[in-house]
Amino acid sequence: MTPSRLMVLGDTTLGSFVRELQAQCRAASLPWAVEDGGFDSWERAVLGGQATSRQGAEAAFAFVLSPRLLEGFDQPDLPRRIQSVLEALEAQRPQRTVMFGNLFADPRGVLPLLRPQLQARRARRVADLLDDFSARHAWFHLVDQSSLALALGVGALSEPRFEALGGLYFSPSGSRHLAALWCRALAALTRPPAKVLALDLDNVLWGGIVGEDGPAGLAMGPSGAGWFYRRFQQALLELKRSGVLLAVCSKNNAAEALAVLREHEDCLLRPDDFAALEIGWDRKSLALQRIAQRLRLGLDSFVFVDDAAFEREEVRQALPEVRVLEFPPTPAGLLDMLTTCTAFDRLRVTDEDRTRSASYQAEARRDELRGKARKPEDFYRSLGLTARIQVAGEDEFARAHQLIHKTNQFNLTSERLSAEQLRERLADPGYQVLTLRVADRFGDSGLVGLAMLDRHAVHTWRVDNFLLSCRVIGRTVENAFVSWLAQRARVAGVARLEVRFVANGRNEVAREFLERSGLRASEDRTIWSLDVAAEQRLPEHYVKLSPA
Amino acid sequence: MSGVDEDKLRAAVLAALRIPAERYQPDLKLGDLEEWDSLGHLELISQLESTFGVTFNLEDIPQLDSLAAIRMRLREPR
Repeated sequence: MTPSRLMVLGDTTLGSFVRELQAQCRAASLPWAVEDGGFDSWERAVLGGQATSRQGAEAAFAFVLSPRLLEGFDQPDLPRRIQSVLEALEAQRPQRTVMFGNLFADPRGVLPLLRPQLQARRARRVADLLDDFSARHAWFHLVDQSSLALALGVGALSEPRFEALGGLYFSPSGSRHLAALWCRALAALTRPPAKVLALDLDNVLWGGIVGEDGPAGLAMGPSGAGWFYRRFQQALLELKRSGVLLAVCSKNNAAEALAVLREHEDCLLRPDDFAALEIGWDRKSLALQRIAQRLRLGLDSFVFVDDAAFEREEVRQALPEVRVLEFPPTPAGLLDMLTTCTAFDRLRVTDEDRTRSASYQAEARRDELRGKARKPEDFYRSLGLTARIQVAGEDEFARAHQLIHKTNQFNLTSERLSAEQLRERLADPGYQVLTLRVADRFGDSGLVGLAMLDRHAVHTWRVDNFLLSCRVIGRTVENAFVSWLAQRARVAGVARLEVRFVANGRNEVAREFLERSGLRASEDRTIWSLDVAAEQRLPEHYVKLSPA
Repeated sequence: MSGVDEDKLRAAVLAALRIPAERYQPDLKLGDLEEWDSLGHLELISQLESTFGVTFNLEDIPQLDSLAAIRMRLREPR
């Protein structure tokens, strides 16, 4: 892998930090070539046009600013200075990746009673500015240096002698701590987070064993040893909200264990918090495989927690791709086990992350219903499917662009339009970019489909692409779309629909759909056409279309 | 007067300058290695302080510019 370049910019000398980050990236096999932007380079590199010369054009930026910037009565307005740097970054093309360490105030100094007024207010304004900016730009990531300073104390990061001798605000040993944080952030930027956290129950979610101690004997209350399990459960809920799917993988009597999850008054996690529950007497490796199958996720995106060394070893041996966490010797170490685990690190939480758990829950209910239905049609009917097809608007741009780049299976041409190309199509009056939203009685799947309709020709409409998130495949939504399009073409007096298809090695399901819909393939199977006027019978669907 | 623990000294130099063991010499001086530059010097000082549990005076730090000088300083009573 060719390393990406990362230019470190700051207001002090960061040589020690840069050397340490280089060493840590190497040790972690992270593909980043870290460079030192030089002393007091943080504004110059962006505003001066020097580092934006050819050399630095495609390097990512890392801003590592010191508390010195916040000090003094007569400092020029720091928030304004940061604002201009942000604006300049915003205007740069191509957009570069930017990581920005948030600022913390150094409490060591004169007028200790006044320092909050002098510095904290400035720090807060800068923090708000950076928060807003990172919420607006997916290429801008915050690195939480201030929490590190709070946890370690500024004395562990900065030492006056080294600042006096080398202009190093961040001392050599402080640079190690700081580099560890940045290395973790770079890893999160480089590698996708794990998706599933599979947990044992007894002595993991609570202290004690259901089968031996009974529900009343379990520790997860707000005081005593239970407190640590409670804190652990709270942390799990936070992980869930950030997009991690929780699963139970426990050897237990299912009825007894479920009763605790459902009814125990001290238990914060409830059955609905888990995307999958495997409670029984099978080997854990088999249970994990079943969970993976049900969630349609690879085991390499699983993390496994169990207090029994024997179970951990069984999973390690049978499923080497699963990450198995070391279990702490006492419940006091439970939270640390999660905070030191980097598998779930992410730099931002998207809307999709936030709703992931709920949408997997809904999918599990659909599966249950599918299993019970006598015929597929009964299942489709009972879902109560609705869909809305609309011309894409500006507020749907980000999601549409994401779908174009993330959809691999049901994607007719896999044409990965750049943001600019997509904007061009949206602006072209001869073109229609259509969005498809789907909901059923189990929930709203949101914007899950996209079609590119070229209407430049009079008698033929050409579908340049049609794609559907794998979350909604198998609910006849695709059939509903073809019927709707044929109907509209007929009304518009269009004779023919032409649908483009380009095989990508993974989109067999999309080609099958064209075949199933009765479209005729051209010799080279790249154009599939439908004679609209012939009113041929299209595959059934069970979707109620709401008016656009 | 006791001697300096040479293994600890060597380990501190390797860690601070991030060099492989074969580049270590017991008579190294500031500037002998590309890694022992003025910045590397501060990193070495910091590492020695944590390894040997000492704190050097600001004025002493520039003068600890060879392993010989460092050994001598470490042998002094605290």
